[in-house]
Amino acid sequence: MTTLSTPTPPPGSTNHASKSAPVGGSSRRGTRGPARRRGNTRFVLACLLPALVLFAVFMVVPTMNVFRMSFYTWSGFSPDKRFVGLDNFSRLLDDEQFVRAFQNTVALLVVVTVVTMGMGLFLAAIMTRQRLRGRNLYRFILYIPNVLSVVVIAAVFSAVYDQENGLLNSTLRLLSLDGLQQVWLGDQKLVVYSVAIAMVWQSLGYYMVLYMASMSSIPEELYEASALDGASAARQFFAITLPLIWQNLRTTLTFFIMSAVNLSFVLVRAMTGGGPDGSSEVLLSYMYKQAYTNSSYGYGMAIGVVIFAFSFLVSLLVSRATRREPLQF
Amino acid sequence: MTTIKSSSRPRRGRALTYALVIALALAIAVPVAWVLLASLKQKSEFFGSPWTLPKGLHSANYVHAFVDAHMGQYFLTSVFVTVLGLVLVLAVSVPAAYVIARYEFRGRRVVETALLAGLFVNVNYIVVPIFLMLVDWDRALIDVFPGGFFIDNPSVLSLVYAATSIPFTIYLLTAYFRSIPVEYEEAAAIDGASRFRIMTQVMLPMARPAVTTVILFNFLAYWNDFIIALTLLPGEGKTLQVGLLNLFTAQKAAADYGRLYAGMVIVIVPVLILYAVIQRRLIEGMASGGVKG
Amino acid sequence: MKESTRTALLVTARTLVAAACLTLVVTARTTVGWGNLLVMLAALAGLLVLLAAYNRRFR
Repeated sequence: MTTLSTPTPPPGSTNHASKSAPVGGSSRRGTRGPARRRGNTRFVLACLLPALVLFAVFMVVPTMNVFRMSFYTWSGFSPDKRFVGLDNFSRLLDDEQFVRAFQNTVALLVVVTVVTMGMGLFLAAIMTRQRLRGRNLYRFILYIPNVLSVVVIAAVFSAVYDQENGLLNSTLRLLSLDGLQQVWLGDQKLVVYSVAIAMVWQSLGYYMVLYMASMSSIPEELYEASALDGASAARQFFAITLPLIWQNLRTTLTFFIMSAVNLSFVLVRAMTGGGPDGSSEVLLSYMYKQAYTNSSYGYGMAIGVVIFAFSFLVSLLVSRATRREPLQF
Repeated sequence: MTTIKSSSRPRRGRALTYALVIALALAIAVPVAWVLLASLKQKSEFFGSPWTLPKGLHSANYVHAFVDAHMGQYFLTSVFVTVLGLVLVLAVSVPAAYVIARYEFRGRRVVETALLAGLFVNVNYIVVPIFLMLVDWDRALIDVFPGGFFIDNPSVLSLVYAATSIPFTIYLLTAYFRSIPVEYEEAAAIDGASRFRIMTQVMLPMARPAVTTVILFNFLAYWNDFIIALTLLPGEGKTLQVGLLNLFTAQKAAADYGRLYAGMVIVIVPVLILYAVIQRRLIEGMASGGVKG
Repeated sequence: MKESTRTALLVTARTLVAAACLTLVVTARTTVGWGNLLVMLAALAGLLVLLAAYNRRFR
């Protein structure tokens, strides 16, 4: 209580310092007697319950239903619901379309993660280190796709990819590179990578801006000192920049798995509808199709279980593989 | 020799950097700007090279989009759903986050862990079970609401948005509340303020930066979502994104580009203006999170 | 000198392995089948192992 006399700095500037300050209400207020503590319980409950109830009803229960319903066959609307054990999962083994969707998901996840994170880090590093003129303008533009909706992005890319009058093909024609023209969204081999380009287009700016923000807080003296030692820019990146933003990189990478799996679905749903002939289907879009359009709810939820297991496992492995002691500067 | 090398290499590197960054900025700006321009073109102008400027201001596309395609009406639905969703999520998350940050109570670690796990559950993973749950509730209440209550109800859509963004919102707010020194509350408690007053009049104003960040990110999530809106509002009342998706699907069949691009402008422009106004806030806020649902 | 050659070799080897894993993912996708899916998952695991190996000396 004596700390009251010392002037406290404004919030925001105290982000790091105050973490060591004693936090925790009841140890402080608890000294005022049991009456106050009983009031605490009521207050805590009143504050916590609405959020917890909503969270339980709309997130916990549906998530458990995904797992529970994967053991049933059910059309979703009829009362006819039958327990079939692992039947839905063994049906997955023979489902070519499922395998293809899984392969597309893995390919998109790997390619988009590597490209987005790699380019994001690289661009953030050079833009922070080289102090380009007009940096804020580039940052403004590169972040734009992140505020656009996926439907808008899908429509923008259909204008870009259009076979006849698309921006891409007609530019290639203008440059007399007719040979490079493609049916971007109609070619079964290519369509997944057309989606991948749209995904990178959407998320690159977000991660670049994020890394720029955390890189700009690295003290300049560190770079000056290592420049005196004759370290190259690449060396500085691996020896200074990367270790100092590692916690940030680790968080984003861990969560990127889930958001990439999700983004691939939303884009595929709006852009290609899984076509042509199911060649751009991803796991989530296939689940949605089975459960919602095809009314094989139980089967769809078996796919859902695979998605949960896969994305959770990969996130966990990424988080394990990138664990470090936090570094201070 | 060495002096030339050391002075020309950074310069060449700089030029390369500029080229790369400008190319990327163009790759993003050009398609977006093209859509804005193309929304003014007449139908005949869409055949032939896309790199021509519109011949005149053909505003009929906008009339089509606003009136015939009901985009004006969908706009209002979207505003309603987004605002209500934001109000709901803040009303339940701010107290919960405050209590988690400041009070010791039994089960706090369980609650925190559960909410943290919730960060890894994307709404789109569970949209089908949510939909069927709401259908179920409608069936149970058929005597009270013969027309159904939960499906096709924009308020319920807001509630689902709010509920599914609780983990992210509480995560950000709790971290911020913890970073505020406890002395402010102690002073207020000595002055005899009630717990509720301390929360709303002392702590909430101080957490304004975090609240703004939360509002911005949730606004973008609600405004831009189309999967949940498509599933939970299958009837006439649609949100803007679903309306745009319909225009997009219709264009594939009927090649009615003008209406689609006008619809896109209606969707893009408000968000772009908002982004331009608050971009510094948005970018500062990002640095505190790094979590994206 | 010896230390620096070792580092250079290590960097090259890691880059090659990463590139190989990426190539595997892209090429294995072209054919649909469980075998190919397993190859892709193995390549993904390879990338994760590489990440862990890079991270090891910082722990």
